[in-house]
Amino acid sequence: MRNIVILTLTLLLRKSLMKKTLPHAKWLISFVKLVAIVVAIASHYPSFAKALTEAGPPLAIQSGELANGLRVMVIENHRIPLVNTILLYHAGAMDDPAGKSGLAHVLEHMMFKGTKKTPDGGFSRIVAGYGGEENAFTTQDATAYYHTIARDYWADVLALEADRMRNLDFASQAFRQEFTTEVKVVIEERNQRTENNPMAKLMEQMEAGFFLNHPYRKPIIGWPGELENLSIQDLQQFYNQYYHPDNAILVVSGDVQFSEVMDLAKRLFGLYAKGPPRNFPSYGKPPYLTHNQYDYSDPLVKVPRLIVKIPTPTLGSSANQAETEQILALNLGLEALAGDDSSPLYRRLVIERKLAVSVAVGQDLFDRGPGAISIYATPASGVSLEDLQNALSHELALMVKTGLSEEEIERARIRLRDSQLLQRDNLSHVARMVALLSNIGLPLDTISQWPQPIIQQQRATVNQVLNDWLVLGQREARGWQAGYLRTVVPEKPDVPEKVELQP
Amino acid sequence: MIKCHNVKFIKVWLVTSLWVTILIIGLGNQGVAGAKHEIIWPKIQTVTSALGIKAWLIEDHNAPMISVSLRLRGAGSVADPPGREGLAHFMATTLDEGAGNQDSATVRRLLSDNSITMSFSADRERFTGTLLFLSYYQTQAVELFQQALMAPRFDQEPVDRVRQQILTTLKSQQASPDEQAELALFQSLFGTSGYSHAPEGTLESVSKISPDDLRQFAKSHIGKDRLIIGLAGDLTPDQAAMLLDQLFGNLPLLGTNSDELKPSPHYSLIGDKDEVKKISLAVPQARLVSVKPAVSINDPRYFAAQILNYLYGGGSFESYLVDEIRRKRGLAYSASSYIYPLENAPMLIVNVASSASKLAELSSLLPKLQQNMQDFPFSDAQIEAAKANLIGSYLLGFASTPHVSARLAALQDYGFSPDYLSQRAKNYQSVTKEALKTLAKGLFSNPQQQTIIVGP
Repeated sequence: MRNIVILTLTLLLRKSLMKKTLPHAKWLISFVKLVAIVVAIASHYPSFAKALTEAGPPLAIQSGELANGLRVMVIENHRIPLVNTILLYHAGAMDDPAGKSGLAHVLEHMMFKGTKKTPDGGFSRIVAGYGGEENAFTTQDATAYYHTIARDYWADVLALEADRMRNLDFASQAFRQEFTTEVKVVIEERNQRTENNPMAKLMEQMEAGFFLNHPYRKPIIGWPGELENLSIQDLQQFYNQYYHPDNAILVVSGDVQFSEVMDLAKRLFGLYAKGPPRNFPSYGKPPYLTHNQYDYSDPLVKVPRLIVKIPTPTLGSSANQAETEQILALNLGLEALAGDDSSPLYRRLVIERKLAVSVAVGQDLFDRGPGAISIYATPASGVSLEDLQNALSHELALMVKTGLSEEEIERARIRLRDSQLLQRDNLSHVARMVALLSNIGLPLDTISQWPQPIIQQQRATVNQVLNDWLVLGQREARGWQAGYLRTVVPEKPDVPEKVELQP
Repeated sequence: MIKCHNVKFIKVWLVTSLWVTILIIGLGNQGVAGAKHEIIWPKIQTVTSALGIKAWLIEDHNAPMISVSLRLRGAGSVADPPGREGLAHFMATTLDEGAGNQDSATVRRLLSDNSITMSFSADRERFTGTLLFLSYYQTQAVELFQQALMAPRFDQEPVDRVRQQILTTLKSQQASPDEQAELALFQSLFGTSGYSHAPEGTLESVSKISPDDLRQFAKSHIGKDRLIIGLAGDLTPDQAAMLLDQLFGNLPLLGTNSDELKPSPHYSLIGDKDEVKKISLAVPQARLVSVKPAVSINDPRYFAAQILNYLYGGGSFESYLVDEIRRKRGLAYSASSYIYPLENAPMLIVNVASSASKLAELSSLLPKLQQNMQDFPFSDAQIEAAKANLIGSYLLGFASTPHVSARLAALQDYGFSPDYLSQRAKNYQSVTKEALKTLAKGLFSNPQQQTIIVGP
């Protein structure tokens, strides 16, 4: 329903900020589930065995590396003469220096402001003139610039992209002027995304407490009071430290040949030297001793919401292979337990017990740093957040105790496989998936076969990890959080109805 | 600001960091090739089934998937009966909750197990449906979609559950400056006619809608003779013809007594001069929405209007509004314009999000910008760039199979012919600077304007 969609947008914004608002008109949202090819297929899906041989090959990714360390990945697709390109730098908001939150994102905005060769916003003007679409996004882990354009113009735009990797014109008068206005624009962006949105404010507060010892605690957009104090020197320092070929990947998806991409990349990026050595700081993982509740009431809240966050490692932060296998199994288990509206959790809370209008579950996997299982629920009219949380906790404990059946897990595997095939239909989804998986250092063959590592998880492991992570009582001492978004006036049901609180 | 009403139920999802992608469907951004070499467009084939059902098809065997897009005119919220505002939207959102001898749980389970996307929605003017499936699930997908259209159940449980979800959405919208601005705008422009209410209805009206209302609405609006269909993906014209009969062959004929034949509302209430309404909402960032009459898709000046809109505020980073409001003055994060092509009430809508503290400056700036627009402050180079963008960017709308089928349905809906793809570039290229100047003068010297400001 729409309210969930609004919620998912909020989440997206937390995860990444974009240079510009998407123009008016219509928003369509799709969930990029990463998927690949299954091994085991239940015999009661006869259509499946046939499907496997037809749709089976891994995603064909061709890759190379320039002498200066720039990695290039190409996914050819010659269906229409269109090309999607992403240049991703392995530096994001978590790399903002102390006291300078929001820096990586402001730099992302300023990357469109011109080089000596293409000054004064020329980048966007040229791309627009070709009928292309360009934008950029900043996450905690990375900053990525992308464009989609007719293949005839692709090389021209890649030249602009290469130019601004090293030649952003910080010294020009125009750049200085633009910087002053752009900081104001970003403050407006913060107003639009966060200040106007109680859910975003609550999540920002929760994250500041959730990450005990990691820069993820700072918002990507930056804290007020720090944004205003950013200087051009700060930006330049960040740029000089991180914007180099050996700290970037180039992903191209669409109507191109691998060899032409490599030739062009060599010509355009090959002249740049390697950057300074990249050190990824290692953060200690102090144990969680408390679990915290965040209570936030705001006159703008019209519908209360419950958020539960449970700390988990991610593929980027897991300590060893055993832990990695656990979080992959957890992902399969969550897909089975709460993957869509025919899943057990939705059925129990929304359809049978009628305590919630919606419930949704997510797990961070593709991050450099620590992550969470996040559960979002909207109570039915007249149900308190506390009652909903108790019911959620109770239902999860019951489900975990019973354990998932082989059939339930198999259905989740099939969904994951199919959704990967569906994803491959879209040029930019494919490119983004490859870029973000590469960003956390997954090897190429793992990426091309994704989500094979999830699908191959076995039932015993899945049920074990669900038990380890989802029984809130057990996890009480391990840092789970609850967030309560409340209306200011206690809500009255607007429709007379019966809500039965079952035990 | 105009919302996407066809998002429907993404009721629960399992997400990873990668999980959300935003696609933009910009109706204003329709175009063909402006490339160095003429783009060879995929061929639009027209298909007529044995039972006489027509569709446009773009065949594409690169991926094993098929997408069906469906539109029904006159079956949007414009057809909601008084006191039952939101009925069309409610009907559409509940259509995939059980049909024939399969209840909601069974249908949802079959959709999930077979990775089928089936969704329905209704905006102001039309009902739309989408079916996307991997080829090897065709049997199941066809059965579910045709049953949903033919024999929807509207059982009490799913109806009440969906009602709760709609009510929750409506309540959330009370705190959204965007939603409040849209609501006030359509009330101001259309009084009590069919466009004046939100497609989702009101808390009061949605509470009253019964399963019988839903059944009745579906029965009287979903008919074989009302279908506009786009097909794309892994099927030949012969297979497409068979698919059409399987999907739609059993639907009833509605004949002539349909809302589709009634003219849609005009914005009869738009004032002779700029009227500003203020709505109080305690948000730090205010929303300003302003509307002027524009030209419709069937107007010969439509292509000129799209170019003009692009230059004014449609061209994203390159537009006059962004340049003046955001780039030069830092007054807003977003400032845009677009043409909302309601059939008898086409509008040019401006949408700005700005801090409450900057509203005064913004409000005095906008009339000056409109004044300047009367004199068409753009160079030949800018016009050429706008044309090139509008022509070239059309390709972006073909980036996935569901994009393609949706585009094919929309083109038929708006009355274009199957050779549109190859003709479109010429339509833009042939617009002269004089035509743009005349249109700009006409649109921007027209004193009729409705402005809504939502903020503290």
